[in-house]
Amino acid sequence: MITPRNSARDSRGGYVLGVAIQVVLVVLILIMVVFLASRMRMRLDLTEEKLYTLTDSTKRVLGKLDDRLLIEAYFSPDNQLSGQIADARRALRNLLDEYVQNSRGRVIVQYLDPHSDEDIRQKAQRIGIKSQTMSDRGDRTLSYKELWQGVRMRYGGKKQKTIPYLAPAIVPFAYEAALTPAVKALTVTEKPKIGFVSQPAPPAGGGQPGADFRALRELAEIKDQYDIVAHPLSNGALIPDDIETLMVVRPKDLTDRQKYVLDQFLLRGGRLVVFADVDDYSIGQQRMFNRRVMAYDARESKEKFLDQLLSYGVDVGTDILLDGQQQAAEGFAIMRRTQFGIPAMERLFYPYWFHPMPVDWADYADQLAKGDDGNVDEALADNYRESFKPGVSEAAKVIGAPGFYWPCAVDLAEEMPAGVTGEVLLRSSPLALEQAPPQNLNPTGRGRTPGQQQADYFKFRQDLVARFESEPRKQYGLMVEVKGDFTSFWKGKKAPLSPEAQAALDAQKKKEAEAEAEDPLNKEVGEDPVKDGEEKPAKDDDENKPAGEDRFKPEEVGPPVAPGDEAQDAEIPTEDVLEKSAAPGRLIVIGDSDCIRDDIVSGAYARTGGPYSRTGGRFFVNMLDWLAEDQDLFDLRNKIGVDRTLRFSGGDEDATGAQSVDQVRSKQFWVRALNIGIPPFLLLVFGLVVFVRRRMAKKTFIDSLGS
Amino acid sequence: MREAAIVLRRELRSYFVSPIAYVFGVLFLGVQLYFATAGWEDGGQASAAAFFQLMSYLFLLFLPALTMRLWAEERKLGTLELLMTFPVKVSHLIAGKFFAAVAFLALILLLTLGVPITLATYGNLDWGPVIGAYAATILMASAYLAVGMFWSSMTRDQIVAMLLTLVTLAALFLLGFPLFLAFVTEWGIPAWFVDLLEGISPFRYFVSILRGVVDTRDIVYYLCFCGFFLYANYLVLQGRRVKG
Repeated sequence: MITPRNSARDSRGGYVLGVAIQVVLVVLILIMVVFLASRMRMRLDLTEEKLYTLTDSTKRVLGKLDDRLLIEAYFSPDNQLSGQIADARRALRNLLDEYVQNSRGRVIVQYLDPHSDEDIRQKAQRIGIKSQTMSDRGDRTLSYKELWQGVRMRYGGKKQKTIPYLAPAIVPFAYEAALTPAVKALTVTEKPKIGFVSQPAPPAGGGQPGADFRALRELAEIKDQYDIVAHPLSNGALIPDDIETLMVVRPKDLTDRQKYVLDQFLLRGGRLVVFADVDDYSIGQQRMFNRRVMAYDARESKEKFLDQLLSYGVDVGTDILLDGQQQAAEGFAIMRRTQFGIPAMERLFYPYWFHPMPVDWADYADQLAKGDDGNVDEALADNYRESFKPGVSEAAKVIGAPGFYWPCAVDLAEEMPAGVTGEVLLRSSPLALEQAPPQNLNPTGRGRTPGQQQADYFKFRQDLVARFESEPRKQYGLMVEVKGDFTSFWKGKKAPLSPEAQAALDAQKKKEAEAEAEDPLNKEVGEDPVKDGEEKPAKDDDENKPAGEDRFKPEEVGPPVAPGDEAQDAEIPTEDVLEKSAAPGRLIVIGDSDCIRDDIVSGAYARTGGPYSRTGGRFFVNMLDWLAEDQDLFDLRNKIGVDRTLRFSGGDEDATGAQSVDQVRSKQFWVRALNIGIPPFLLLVFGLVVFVRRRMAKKTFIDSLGS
Repeated sequence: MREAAIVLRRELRSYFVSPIAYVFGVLFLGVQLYFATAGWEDGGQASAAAFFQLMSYLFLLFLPALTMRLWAEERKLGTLELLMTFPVKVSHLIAGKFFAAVAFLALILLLTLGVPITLATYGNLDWGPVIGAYAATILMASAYLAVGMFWSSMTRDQIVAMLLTLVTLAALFLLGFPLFLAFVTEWGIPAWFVDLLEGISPFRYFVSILRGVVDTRDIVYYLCFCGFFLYANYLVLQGRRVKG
């Protein structure tokens, strides 16, 4: 028999049981929902650079796989990882999963644990996988762990590539930037050959050699895809046919023959890239920037290299450029003590280092046409809108823009040669001007003490202000491309002979001279008397010719003889001479070579305040791909390097854009103070309004009761 | 739903006519903005990630103080019984109170918009992750509020409710904290169990969205988490209504 008391207890017990079952069911349902959601997930990558999304580059490269790609991942087990390294591993595994999903079954990932099996460990070491020692902080201990995170890729059983160690990274893009070029390298069947000619930068002094241009050529990403061969332009030989692209970096002391070689290469349909430079500035101790006079042309050469480029449609300036746009400036800083005696890097405005900005300057016409009274000069603004062009053209967007250091202007010729079209790819801001290269361009002069440096910089800045205020500023080209059917610069001129032809000719001349000397008819029997006032007959006109000229050749009559014909007459080696393009050629001229210089690209001066060409490497690699019309990796590379640096040093600077450390700190303080103070203040004001209104409403209510 | 909207309006008004909103708001904003802006310097990075990361820590301390009164005060003042006699469903009451607290927090968050605006003014701020981070913050705060409301419904003592909420949130936070998981791993606990523990923590999903990646899995997790605690809250209140 059930008592009422027991019935209540049972009823309560039943309710609790019911609730418990409900809770368990709800928990199970929720777990299932979460599980299903993780299986059928959708992701939205909100980052501007799409850091968490596989790039189109990777998809393209994976899409082109026509054989099986086995990725052997030599990874330490996940359960031995902690903290951020564990997160980084998760990101890497997710990325490899995406490679598999996007490869139509071509990619297979095999995970191997070198910790679990000695054979795997030895194999990993044998193929070049390297472990790293990571510190691991425990509760009271500090231990070191061995971390394996390398991969070997095997493509179709024929080619393989090893990445010894993938450094842990939270953003999967860092892994993608290492893996995709490696996959791409495996699929390259034939590497395009690229000729490379360079002259080292001027020595810094103190017996140190000048910086070279080797670092970028040695990049694995480039070596995997291109066969870069240093071409000894100095030997005067024509460029071999298998070289389709020739890079001439910092052309200097070029002989006529070398210029002729370049001319013939272009006319053959080659792609010629010239990193031009006006006078150089060495980067010496105490950050002294001293002028080193540089000549494009060898002393004995008769033709000027700049005239040659002009004949193709490219006008290279002989002055250096300054850009007055603060945002375009490349970083330049010096170490200085603040008023409290604390050493700090102080950013200085140095308009000789700048980069083209990826904006359409026509959009800024109104802003730039503002007078001192703040009113816009409409006519001027219209003029600006028509003449200003984007800093980075559409075509150059895939290449990007490097920083330029003491560059020169490079523009299209006023009159383009027939059959040639051109485009300015990179431009300065409209606030740039040209200056004849001064002897010294160190903003802090030779001052040793901070006071002297300050005074020197003050003067340097004053000069800049005066220059920017008084001289006309305009937009200059920095990189130009011309293409089409070129006419030889040597057309109608006497073309220089090849070294072999010259040597053969010299030998033949010597032989002829000897034979002539032995001929009795040629022996002098005495000179004819010459009367006063009568011109002495020239024994040989060639005596008056400059050194190096053919002094033994009969006087030329009619059109100049092509070197081949001449050589043929003299039974010397011949060359096929082109006067018109045999195939459309491409010429790219860039107004600076420092942007790809070893010391500047590698950041040798980064800690001392610059110059540091962060984007030079990417620019170089992109340009190679652009020239080779290989766009596979553009998206991958162009994801790198969005500058998100905070700059409190802009805004209220003087005409040169400079601000002191104390000014910047003061600004930082106020920006921070306002951010901290205003929101609570607004909330309190709102509260006060609510309080006053409620009080008034209450008073009105009480008053209404009283009346 | 009309009833829930009425409760929401009433609750939201109650925040602003009492000193709670102002004490909470001024303290929270003051501490948050003071520390979050400490790293601003010329040459630093224009990123709001640290700002939102700090917010997740501060919510841990501040939100229990906000939620402790939601039901406990009603019980202490005896208004809960009165509330239960109204022709309003318990679920509407819970929804009204919950969304009022979320709306109040959203308004407080609006006052922090100056931070990303300043970063965008002095640097090239990526707004995508910022928008994602605000969404993640609202989702995580909602999860915290749901836990707080549940504990508030369990006791009439506000301090006890606050402490229980604090302990629960701290435990959940620790489960998603990499250093703690590394510490746990050293005990020899199986990796799958550590993964399971980590999977429970709202912190992990918050960090995931904070990067700028909105994943349906993360959103579903938060919805389920909130749903579970609000349902538990419902069961407690429904039990009281049944009990009379």
